[in-house]
Amino acid sequence: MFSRLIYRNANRSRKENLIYFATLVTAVASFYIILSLGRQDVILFLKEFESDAIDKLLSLMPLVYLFALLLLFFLILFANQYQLNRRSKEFGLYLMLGMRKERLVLQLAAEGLMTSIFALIGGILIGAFLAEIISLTVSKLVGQGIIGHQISLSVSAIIFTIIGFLFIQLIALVILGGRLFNQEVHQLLYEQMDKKQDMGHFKGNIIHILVGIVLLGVAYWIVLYRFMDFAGLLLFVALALGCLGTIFFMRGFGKLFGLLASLSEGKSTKGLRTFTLRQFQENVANKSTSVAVTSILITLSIILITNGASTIIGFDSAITRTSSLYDFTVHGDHQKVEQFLTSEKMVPYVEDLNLLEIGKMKYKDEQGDGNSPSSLVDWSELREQLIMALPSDYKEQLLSGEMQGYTISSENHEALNLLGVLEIDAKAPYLIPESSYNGLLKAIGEKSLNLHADEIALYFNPDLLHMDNLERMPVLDRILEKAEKEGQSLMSIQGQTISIRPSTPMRGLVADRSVEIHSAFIVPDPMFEQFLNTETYVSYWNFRIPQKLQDEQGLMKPMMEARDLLQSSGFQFESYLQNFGRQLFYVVAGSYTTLYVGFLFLIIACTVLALQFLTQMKQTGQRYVTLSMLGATRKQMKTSMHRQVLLAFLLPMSLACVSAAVGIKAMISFVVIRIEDNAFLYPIAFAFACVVILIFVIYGVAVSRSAGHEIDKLRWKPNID
Amino acid sequence: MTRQEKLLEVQDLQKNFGKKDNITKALNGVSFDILPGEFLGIMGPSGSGKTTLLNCIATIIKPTAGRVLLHGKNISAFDSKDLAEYRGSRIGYLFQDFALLDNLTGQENILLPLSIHGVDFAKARVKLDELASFFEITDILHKFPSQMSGGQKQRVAAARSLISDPDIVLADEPTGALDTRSAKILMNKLEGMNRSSGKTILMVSHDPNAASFCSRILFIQDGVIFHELRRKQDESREKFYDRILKVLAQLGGGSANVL
Ligand SMILES: Nc1ncnc2c1ncn2[C@@H]1O[C@H](COP(=O)(O)OP(=O)(O)OP(=O)(O)O)[C@@H](O)[C@H]1O
Ligand SMILES: [Mg+2]
Repeated sequence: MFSRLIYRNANRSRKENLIYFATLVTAVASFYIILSLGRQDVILFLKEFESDAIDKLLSLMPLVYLFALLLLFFLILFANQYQLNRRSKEFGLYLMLGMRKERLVLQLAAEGLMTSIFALIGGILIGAFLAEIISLTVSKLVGQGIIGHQISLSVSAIIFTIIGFLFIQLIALVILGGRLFNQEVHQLLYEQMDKKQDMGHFKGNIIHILVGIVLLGVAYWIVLYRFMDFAGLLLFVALALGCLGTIFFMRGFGKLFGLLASLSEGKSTKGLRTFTLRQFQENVANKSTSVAVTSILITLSIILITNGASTIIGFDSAITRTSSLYDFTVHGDHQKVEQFLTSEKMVPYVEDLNLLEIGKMKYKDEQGDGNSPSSLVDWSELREQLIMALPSDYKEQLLSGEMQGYTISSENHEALNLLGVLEIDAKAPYLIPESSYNGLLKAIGEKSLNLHADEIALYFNPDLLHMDNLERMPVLDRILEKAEKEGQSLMSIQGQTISIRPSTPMRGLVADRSVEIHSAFIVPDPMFEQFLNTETYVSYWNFRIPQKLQDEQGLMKPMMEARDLLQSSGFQFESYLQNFGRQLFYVVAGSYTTLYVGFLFLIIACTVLALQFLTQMKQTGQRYVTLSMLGATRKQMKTSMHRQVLLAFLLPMSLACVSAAVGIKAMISFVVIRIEDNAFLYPIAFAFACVVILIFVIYGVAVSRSAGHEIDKLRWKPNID
Repeated sequence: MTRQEKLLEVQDLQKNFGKKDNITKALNGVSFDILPGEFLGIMGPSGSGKTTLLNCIATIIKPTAGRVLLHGKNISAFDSKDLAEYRGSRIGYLFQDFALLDNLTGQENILLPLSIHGVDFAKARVKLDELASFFEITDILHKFPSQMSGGQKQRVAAARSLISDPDIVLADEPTGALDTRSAKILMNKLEGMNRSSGKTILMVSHDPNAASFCSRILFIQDGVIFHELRRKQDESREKFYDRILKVLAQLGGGSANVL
């Protein structure tokens, strides 16, 4: 009999309170998703290249899991509290009928366990399904067809999900059970919402709102204009101010809103408008803090989701090979490597084989004034010209000696970056023989340089200098062309005037990053021999997978085959795969966690809003009875209720949108997130916006339906006095 | 008397609760008429079916048999849409527990029936002021129910029941939750309303004091009317009260001992 009651109650609370149950299921599903991350296709794939980084990422996951556990604990506590409040009358009755409190608590625990088991089954199924979908989508989206698919079901993830969920559920029930245990029967039977209508003074409300707006304004200002001051510490100040501002704003708004409602009272009394506004006001004013908290959560979630999405969007541009040319770079003994790469088994995979030689320039033989050796290069003329080309404010700073040190950034003026690079590099620049670079030019279908004996070309690394255009450097080329026309010399090496060739196309020198240099001088081969500091000499063999093979099999498959062959040869080598893998890793590490936490915040915010609304609905159900007595139709009441739901969701959402917009704007301008215009931008941004809105709509509809159900259930029960 | 002159006709009303083997006949064939301008009281011992009767008239519950005619129209057979139109506009209600919405101000509460029925507020302005001053609640119009006394609440509720100028006001123990003084003020106001504007009121009450303000009283027991008292022209309230007490004593005394 007792167990039947438990079973029936557990069943009933599942059916009657979809939102409560859905919250539990969501919690379980999100635990599972984070715990089964290690089984995702992308992660398994990346383990092959970036196993250290992946291990680091996976070792971070328990932290994310604990964080999620903590967040969802509060959610579950809230949901359970809501559920118990709903049933407090029933409990009161049990106690009135002589059930002992111990027994009641025991029964609740048993019911909680039943519900938990159902939630676990549902949540793990949904979580496994979602993990599978995410795994498939991601590997399709970024894997370019090489990432194989494996079923992502993970037993350990299931076990930890069960443990974690039962743990927080248990704690929540212990806390709430304890509270129930200490309540008077009367409290249970007649629990009502505190009826006080604290409207505050008009002045107080205005002050709240003003304080809120000022705090928010300061927070926005810091975020927009002082983002990086004090090593980003101000950001925390901004966050704190923003939170406080939101709370004040909501508090003032709720009350002021009521005053607005009473001012407009009488002007228009059509329908249940006043009632709707008052209900909304009550919901906001009495729960201003939690409305503010949901607003903050939504703000954070929008920012995080945008951040995660932009990482995914950026992935496309990171992976398109604008500057990267070679697929493989092999290091090792000159002849032996060449022999191997031209051997029969390798030949099908090799095209545009090219030897890259590189080394630093010697210093002057005699020592300079100080201890540091002096440079052979005199580029003061070029330096002058670059300074002239600077934007005027920088020019002044530089000339007055105010500016110390350079940072190379895509935001900078080209001349500033060049100046910065040359200032460091030109003393003992890297030298590349013309023949090496010609091989690279040939591979991209460009003419050979054919430098004169006293001519060089400047090479700048397009990846490190963030070049937009690989074929030209507008500022530098203008200077060089002008000098060429006027016969002016910009540079001399060992006293010999040197002319500089403009408009050299720039590409990556190697497949990945075995050569990480900012700049180099491309010099005629004799000059290379002449000025090379032989101690710094290195050589690499670069090659590409033949275009024909790529057309037939795609890039990845032949690349993997070539990789296997090279691996067995024992030579040191790097491949574009590593580059790809690293980029992919940044995307995965960056987007998974931010998106995960972002959606978690969103769901928590929505659930809190939903439960809060339904609590109010339940507690004020009698009002609807009165309304129907006064002649309101069900339709009218439902319309009013729908509006209330809309308002309840829109208010925190709107403020969150403003705050999030400010945050995103700041992050874009300080390049924490990079939004580049590319083919992926709109579909992905659109998809994420849709998902966020969809989540809101689902919650809104669920709340409306539950509340509608409550209205349908209302029967005017004559009091039998 | 022609049929047209009757405001409300209750014809052989029956209401059963429960299923066959455990049936409660709360109303067992009640018939009476109400004329325009009457202040009709209904009294009877607990469980006699007073609330059930009022609820049938109020269209809150459907009678098992019999009819309730308002202006000759059978309102007990209305569907929910027609009912919504009647409630609050043709019928006003006054409850023992006031049934004010505690998140609306007094004024908003009073105007609620109008807004529900989509009546323009401009037209009701005069009516609102009139009712407010009549019930002496002008000062508390902008207060919330939690800031009012019980008597004030009930007077606000009374104003609300009258705002849409209904044909009849139904009141179920309106003084039940009030102290003697507040109850007396309210009854004075209701009586005044009835006298001055000819408002028809149907009131259920346990309280012979409250009932003594009525112009006619029906006594019911076990679901049937068993007695009727009519206040004679120029009969003082005190005399009428004594007569009521006598009838109650015949009923078995229960209610009369309340005082
Ligand atoms: N919803 C209901 N379900 C079952 N029985 C009911 C219901 N409402 C009333 N009754 C029964 O109908 C009879 C009449 O009840 P009613 O509430 O009309 O009495 P009353 O005259 O208003 O009593 P009181 O003076 O105590 O208010 C009672 O026996 C009561 O038990
Ligand atoms: Mg009754």
